[in-house]
Amino acid sequence: MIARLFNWINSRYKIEKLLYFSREKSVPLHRGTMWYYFGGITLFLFGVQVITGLVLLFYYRVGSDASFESVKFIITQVKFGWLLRSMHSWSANLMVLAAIIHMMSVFFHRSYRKPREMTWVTGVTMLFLLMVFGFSGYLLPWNELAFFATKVGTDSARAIPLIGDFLLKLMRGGSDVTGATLSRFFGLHVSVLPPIFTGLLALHLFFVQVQGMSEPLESAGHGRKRTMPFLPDFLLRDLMVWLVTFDILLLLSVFFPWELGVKADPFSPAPAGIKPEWYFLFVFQSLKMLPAHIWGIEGEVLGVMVMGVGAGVLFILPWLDRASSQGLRNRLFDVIGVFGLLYFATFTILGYLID
Amino acid sequence: MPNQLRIFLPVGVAVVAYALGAIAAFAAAPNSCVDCHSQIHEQIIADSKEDVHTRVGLTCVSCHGGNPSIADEKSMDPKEGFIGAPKPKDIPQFCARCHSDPAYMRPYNPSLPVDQLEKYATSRHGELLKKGDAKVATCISCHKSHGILPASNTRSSVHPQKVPLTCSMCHSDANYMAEYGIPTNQFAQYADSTNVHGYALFVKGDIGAPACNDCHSNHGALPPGVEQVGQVCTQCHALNGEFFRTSPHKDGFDALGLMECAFCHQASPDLNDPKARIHTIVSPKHSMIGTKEPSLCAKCHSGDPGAEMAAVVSKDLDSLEARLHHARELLERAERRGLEVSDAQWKLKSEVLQARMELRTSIHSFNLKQYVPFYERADTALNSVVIAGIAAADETRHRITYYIVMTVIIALLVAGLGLKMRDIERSRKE
Amino acid sequence: MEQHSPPPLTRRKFLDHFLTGTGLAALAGVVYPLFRYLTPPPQEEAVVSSVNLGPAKDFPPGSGKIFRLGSKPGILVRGVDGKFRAYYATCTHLDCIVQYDGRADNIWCACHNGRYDLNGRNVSGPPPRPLTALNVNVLPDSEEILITLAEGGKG
Repeated sequence: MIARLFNWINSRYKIEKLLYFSREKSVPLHRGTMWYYFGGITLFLFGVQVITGLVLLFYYRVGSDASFESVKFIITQVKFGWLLRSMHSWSANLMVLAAIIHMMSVFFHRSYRKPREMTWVTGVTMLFLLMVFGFSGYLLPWNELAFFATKVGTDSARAIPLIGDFLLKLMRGGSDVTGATLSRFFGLHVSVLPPIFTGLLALHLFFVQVQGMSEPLESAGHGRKRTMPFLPDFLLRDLMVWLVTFDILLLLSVFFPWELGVKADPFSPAPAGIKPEWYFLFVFQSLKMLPAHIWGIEGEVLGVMVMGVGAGVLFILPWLDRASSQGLRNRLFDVIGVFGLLYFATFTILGYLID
Repeated sequence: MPNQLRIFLPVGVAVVAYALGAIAAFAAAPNSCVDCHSQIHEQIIADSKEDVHTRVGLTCVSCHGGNPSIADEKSMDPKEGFIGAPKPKDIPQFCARCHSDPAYMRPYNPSLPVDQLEKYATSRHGELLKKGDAKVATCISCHKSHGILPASNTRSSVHPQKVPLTCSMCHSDANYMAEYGIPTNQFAQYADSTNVHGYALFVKGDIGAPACNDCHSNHGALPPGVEQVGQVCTQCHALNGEFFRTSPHKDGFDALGLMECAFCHQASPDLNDPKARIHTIVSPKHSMIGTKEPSLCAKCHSGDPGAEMAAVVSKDLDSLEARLHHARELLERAERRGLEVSDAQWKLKSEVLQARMELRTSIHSFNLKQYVPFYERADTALNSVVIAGIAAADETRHRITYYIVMTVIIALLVAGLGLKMRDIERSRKE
Repeated sequence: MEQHSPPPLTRRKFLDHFLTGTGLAALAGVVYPLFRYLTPPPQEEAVVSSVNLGPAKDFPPGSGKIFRLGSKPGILVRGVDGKFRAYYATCTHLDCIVQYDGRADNIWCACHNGRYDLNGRNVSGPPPRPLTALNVNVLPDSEEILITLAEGGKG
């Protein structure tokens, strides 16, 4: 049966080539092999996002007088609505986490070096898109926390020199966070970002297939390579990891369902302890702790500019780290990486500790 | 912000302009009163600037007479219509020249009553003044003389929140009050934090809460008689009054000379001294009802139908309270677990609490037949909330069951895949 | 590959069946919630900014009705003049729920005897503010009463 179906398709589309290709495909074995799974986990969670996101759209309605109510409707009236909504929120967070881990492993393995620069660039772009996904999605339930977090979040755009005010209005759809902002974020979240992200993801995966998986600097090029066939060995392992991830997702959704909170009221004073999502917290905290003025420049402006430069450096990293493409390990980048990670961790924790 | 500005700016400008205009008119008119008195009566001049009378364009002469265009003491010649400062006994008449004249008052404040003097004459203050007692309160004791502000102004001595303080200036002064032989503890009792009305007025800022004048009247101040206390309370507590008037207690209390509402609801009621703490009305507790201390019923009832009803009501209220507590806990727990129970919460708030309030009111019928339907309504509403709470708890269980089933399946699948993987690797080596 | 030893083969076969079984079970565990999710719930959509109170003829002149709008109680009153009016039903004094008083043809709060006229204005007793108004629409075809938030509907 399956064989006949295969033949039917193969006689028309020559999918046997694909099969040969995937049989050839192998995964390098070394101390860091386990880090390869995080790319897969990110991919799996993206799948979860697509499916849960699509079905949420069946009941979600956008508008300052409908969004909160429709999400409440989903989690109270629709069977398993609570589960799908919680999974969408949790999976989004786990996905950002998995993507960051994936990126860190690529970073410390120097896998971004020639010839994989574009894989890195597409990856970093997707990470930023993920953050935009998260930021825009956070507002959609139109609850108090999201409303004020968005207010604070978009407000920091003001610090960007020259275009800050324009950018702020562009994001908010006006000078304040209103139903107009909600509409914009909704459009961004469900129709602008998904095709862009999917395209980049396809490109990213295509690069990986064409070039194969990168090996760490140390083991590359020496002696006989130890590998594992992708099919079925690695895929089976991937599958197991995905299943475990899925179960963790269920665990979080069942025991720690994502709260809806109270409806946003633009006229009420901001409640205490407004915090952005955890992956923005380090930015939020850094900007908060900067002094008002540094060298005559407004602290926040400087902070935003430094963050911008940091993001830019991340993009062009493969071209900055020339040594790695010659098979050499530039320790300076390890130091920078560790410092960056420590900075991220410290300021995130500070963000939670300091009110 | 711009929106608020748009509203407030013109209003603010108007107010400031009006105030400035009034002050300017007061200061700029050729006015020998101010010229001379600004040195000796600095405070009076300062107070007058914000006085409600100044604001509508009245000047010194309007009350005191005289001719301000004369620059020396001749301006204060009685021939010029000069009256000067009235003696205490003349103050009510002094103010009433305008305030009892509807035609004069109409252009200034058409809705202001003009019967203050009449009322004052009926008050204890008025009676004593007539007898020549100059110590009693006249108009200016409460309203001040030169800085008179309308009651709506929060700085006014007759603003609802200031009234108790204003009255207490004399009534809490034991020396001052000594010769009248009445207690001086009213303010202390009223301002006690257990007094619901004082707490509402001072702490919660509820200016609808009764101050002294709401029970004793403003200008006709007099304590309500024993029979009338109930009337006064039922101005606000109308339903309680309706139930009480048809209750067996009505006649009983009248016969015993007990003050209807106030006897039970004052702090520590005392049969020997029914007025002991009458100015501290405590928030009613369920423990007030029952057959044992500290129940109030037990003070008079035992082994009679009254005691029977007390037992029933006490049991009902306890059970209702316990189940309400249980329902709240169920809903809170459900909310902590992320379940949406706002429907039940709404029912709790809008139906159960409303029904409980009505139930408590119906107790004042002191008649089981009238009380029971109210209990049943509260009971039914509460039960539906408890059921919703239990359903929420069930839902949590379903969710956990789903998770456990899925985890078992996933664990088996992962174990199976693990075995499969080992098989494949082993067979490849062989 | 060892083709001739039967035990591993049956084991392998069992394992395959086991995998198919648990795999299908897991799939069912995922598809079932999705299926239930897509089945329309009894109340078909979330409505909060309006509420339909049924035919207008159910409310004779001189009657009132408490209803729920979102998370707040509302009151529909039809005075003896026959006009429909609606307000949020929480008393502005201490949040009790007000009711229509037919004897006085006005709105009354039982807690402290506060009164509002039919236009929602606080006219006697402790209430410090008027009631917040809601819109009453009589639907043209069905003659049903539809309550909606008033313009700029903020309490």
